[in-house]
Amino acid sequence: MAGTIVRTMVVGTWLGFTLSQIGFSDYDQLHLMFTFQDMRMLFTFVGAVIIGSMGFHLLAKIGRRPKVHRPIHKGTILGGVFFGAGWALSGGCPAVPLVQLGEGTLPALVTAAGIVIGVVLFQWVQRRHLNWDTGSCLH
Amino acid sequence: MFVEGLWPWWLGALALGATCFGYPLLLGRTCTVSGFWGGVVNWRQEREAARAEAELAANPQAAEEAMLEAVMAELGGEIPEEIQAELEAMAAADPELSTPPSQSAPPRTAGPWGYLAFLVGLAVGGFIAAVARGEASLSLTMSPTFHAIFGPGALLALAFGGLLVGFGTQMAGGCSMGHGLSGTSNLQPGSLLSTASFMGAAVVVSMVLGRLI
Amino acid sequence: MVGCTRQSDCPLFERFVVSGSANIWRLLYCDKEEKFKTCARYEAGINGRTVPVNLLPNGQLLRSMRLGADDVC
Repeated sequence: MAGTIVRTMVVGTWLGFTLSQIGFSDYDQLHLMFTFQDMRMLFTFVGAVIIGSMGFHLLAKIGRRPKVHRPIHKGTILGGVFFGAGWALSGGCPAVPLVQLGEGTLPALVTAAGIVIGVVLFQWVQRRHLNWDTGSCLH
Repeated sequence: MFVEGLWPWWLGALALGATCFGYPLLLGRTCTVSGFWGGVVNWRQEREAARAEAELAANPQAAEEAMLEAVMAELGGEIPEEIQAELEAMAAADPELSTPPSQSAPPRTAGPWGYLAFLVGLAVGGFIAAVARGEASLSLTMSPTFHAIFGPGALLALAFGGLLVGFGTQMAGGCSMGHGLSGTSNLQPGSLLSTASFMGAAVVVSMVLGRLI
Repeated sequence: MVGCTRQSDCPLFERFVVSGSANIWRLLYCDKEEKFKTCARYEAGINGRTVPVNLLPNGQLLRSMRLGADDVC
């Protein structure tokens, strides 16, 4: 298990580095992307999807393709809307506040705290009121 | 080509795309940061689940035997003929039900410590990048546009925005990595729809916010 | 096939394939119109709880014989 933890941390570090170098941790850059004033990061995203797609095909060839099953469910759209709104407000897709903290941007602590509260809040709502079937037990 | 030391789009695409399939290559499952946040919040449950996973992976033979035992107990000691017949019919109708999956390896669950390690790694990666760009420094401010938009409401925007992100990604079951990257590159309907939703919302809100500058 | 939509993802069927005995659960729970909602895994899932790989539909936790029943974490 220790090996897995190390490996996970290595990939996390790589992703953090990548997000920072692309500019995803910079609110200015994000704003430029979301208002279509600068398409660079949008192209990055689309390009990443294409490369990811090719990568998954390769994984299939060597028998290591993981199951990726994401059906449409009750929370798909609304959850997306909440997330997108929050992203535009705080600049944080869930990885970003951590990257920002690494860069030295202390206010990101507030964002991260907000994320934790949001996660707890949803799990409470799901348990108490919604019981929505999200289609899969896996994250 | 290089925007203030940041990567051109194609380099970023390569790096990000590589992460998308690199994660499953190394760890047997897809990368989803919202899932890791959820996993850290559910620390105890995740730890139990990771233990169970490790236990079964350690001795698959014993696990199979335990399963057989549990099934027999459920049926009261022996498999009734009708059930036996139904099982055989099931196997005949769908041979896949009885063959080990060839395309997916069992995920190596690191448990909540693994998820935490990932989140910490994100910060470490950010630090390294900032140092590489000569920009590493402690700061109590976000970038200029942010403050131009929110002024004194900055911390509130961060807190509320973060809350929406945490809440929404759990509701949708994924984030920009899980749905946006892994899901769309596998053409999963839920991910495509969710990605469209969050990108759409982010664009709309950003445009509205832009008017406040 | 009416019943639990999570069947295709359920680790129960991916991890215990060799003996085929896990398929019994399909007959007893998954494929049954209302019964699948009483599956402990399904219930945990829609309540936002983590579903351990060794949780059986009847609520029991599968323990490897090697470790015994009273191995408490």
